[in-house]
Amino acid sequence: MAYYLAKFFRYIPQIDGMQVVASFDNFNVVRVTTDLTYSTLSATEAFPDQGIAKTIPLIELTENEALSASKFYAETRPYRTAYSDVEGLPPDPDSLAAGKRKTKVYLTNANFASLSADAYDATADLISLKRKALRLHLDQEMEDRQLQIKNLDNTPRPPYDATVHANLRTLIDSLSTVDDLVRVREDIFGHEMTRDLATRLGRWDSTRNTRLSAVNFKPNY
Amino acid sequence: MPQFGRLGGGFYGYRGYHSIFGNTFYSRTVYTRGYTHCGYQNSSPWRNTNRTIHSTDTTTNLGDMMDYNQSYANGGFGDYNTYIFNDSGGVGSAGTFVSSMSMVTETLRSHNSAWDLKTSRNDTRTLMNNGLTFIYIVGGNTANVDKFSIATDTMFGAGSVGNCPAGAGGSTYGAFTGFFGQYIGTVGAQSNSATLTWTTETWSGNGAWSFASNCDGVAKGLSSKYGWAYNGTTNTANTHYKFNDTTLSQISSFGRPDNCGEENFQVGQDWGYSLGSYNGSQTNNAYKQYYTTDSAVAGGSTMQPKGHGGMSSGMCGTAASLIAGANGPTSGLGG
Repeated sequence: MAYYLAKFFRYIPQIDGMQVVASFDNFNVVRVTTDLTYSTLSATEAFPDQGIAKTIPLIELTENEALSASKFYAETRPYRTAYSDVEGLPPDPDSLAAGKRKTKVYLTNANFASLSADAYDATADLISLKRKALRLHLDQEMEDRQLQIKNLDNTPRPPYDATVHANLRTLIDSLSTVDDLVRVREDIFGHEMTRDLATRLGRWDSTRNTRLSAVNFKPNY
Repeated sequence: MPQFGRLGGGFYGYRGYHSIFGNTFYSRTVYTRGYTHCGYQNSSPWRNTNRTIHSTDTTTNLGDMMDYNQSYANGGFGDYNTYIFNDSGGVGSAGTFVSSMSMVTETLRSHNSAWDLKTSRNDTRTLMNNGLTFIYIVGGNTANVDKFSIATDTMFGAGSVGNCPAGAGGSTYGAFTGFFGQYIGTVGAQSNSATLTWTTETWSGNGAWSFASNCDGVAKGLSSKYGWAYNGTTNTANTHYKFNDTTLSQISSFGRPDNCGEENFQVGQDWGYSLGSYNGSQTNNAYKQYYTTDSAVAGGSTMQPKGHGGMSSGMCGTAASLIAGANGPTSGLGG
């Protein structure tokens, strides 16, 4: 049993022994049950019948990164909210009083540590997962530049630059907080940050309840 | 290769890509692309727009587009523009402000207060009639119904259409699910449901769609021009159900690639899409629902909406490359 962060392209192939267990950005987290499943998945062409030498990109994850930390991937608040009945957790009393069934699950799991041995502080795994995701974003963009694969809107990509590639890898490895990883994910990789972080960075107009300026969604490198 | 099948008018004939074989419900326009606006993830609402080209299953982020960040708001579309009812700025926030994008220029249109809702609403269900001339806006914690004229780009006065017998919508931001076809539109949530007949603008009584007792209102409906529509039950359910969109009888049920709800469903010509949904988390998961078979295919990054970690509870509009109109092909949008 192993877990991988995968980037599929037009369709997600059906492979015996492969199951999608989580998703974020434009990646899927897959569970792979056998060696044969892995060899089939890793050999799957990214763009079948198009003559492009590229297979489905994969980065191995730990089980905790795949199943626990991935649930916090999009958060910069210290908690996520979950449907208590779906996840088998006790609902927040104030939520219950309001007729709702949501509960807050803290990244440190402080509020559920006494309830379950599975409740653990997922902070380190989340940071590790976010680094791996940024590396996959970077390496895929750079591979596509090397292969001269056009953007989805059919515009050409910038030429490949090994120095830029190496510098960005170093930058990603240096990031050690959730906030920094999410900020760089927007500023350099073009994936919009949370309202929570935008507010704390002074990028959110709380009067209009919208961003102060339009987000730049393109890779900034 | 010629295809033969049931057309919206209920007869069989040629359905080639460029055919404008009469002005049936199916062939009045030929849908070729669509747009997904806004949505949210983990209390962060978005305001960007993604374009999906249906022939290649390719979704491209067009950037921040609508006036405000918004989620839990349904939208509508005509032949040329999309609308989001409401776009007041927030996650499920109530308001009357309406944003609109031109599907011709793919730019935000300058706000016109004539578009705005007459009744403040949270989440809405919009029903579009068969000629895409009127949009009916239902639910969102009010039983009042707003009526929008696509032709004149104007919201009718309050009370132009009778109140919805199904009430104010479900418990989550007043959301109804629902769908629309050639003859009627349907809304439902938590045992309440009703249908609106286009020709008479009259509502059925409450309970017209008995299956609504299984629907929480945030598992959305996917319409088609084939005489049927699709709906799930909750926002973590796998099974999709297919209904005759006139008699509301269940035709079939089948599994989907994801256990999801709060879908951004985009209507197409021969297939539709789910472009972002909720499955315990808000995701960019996408799938393509073929109308001719009870099958759906999971899309990868090419098909998925982009710009953020995930998005559910946004809205979609669909555009046509060919508009046959009432008297044959009179205009085209290109693209």
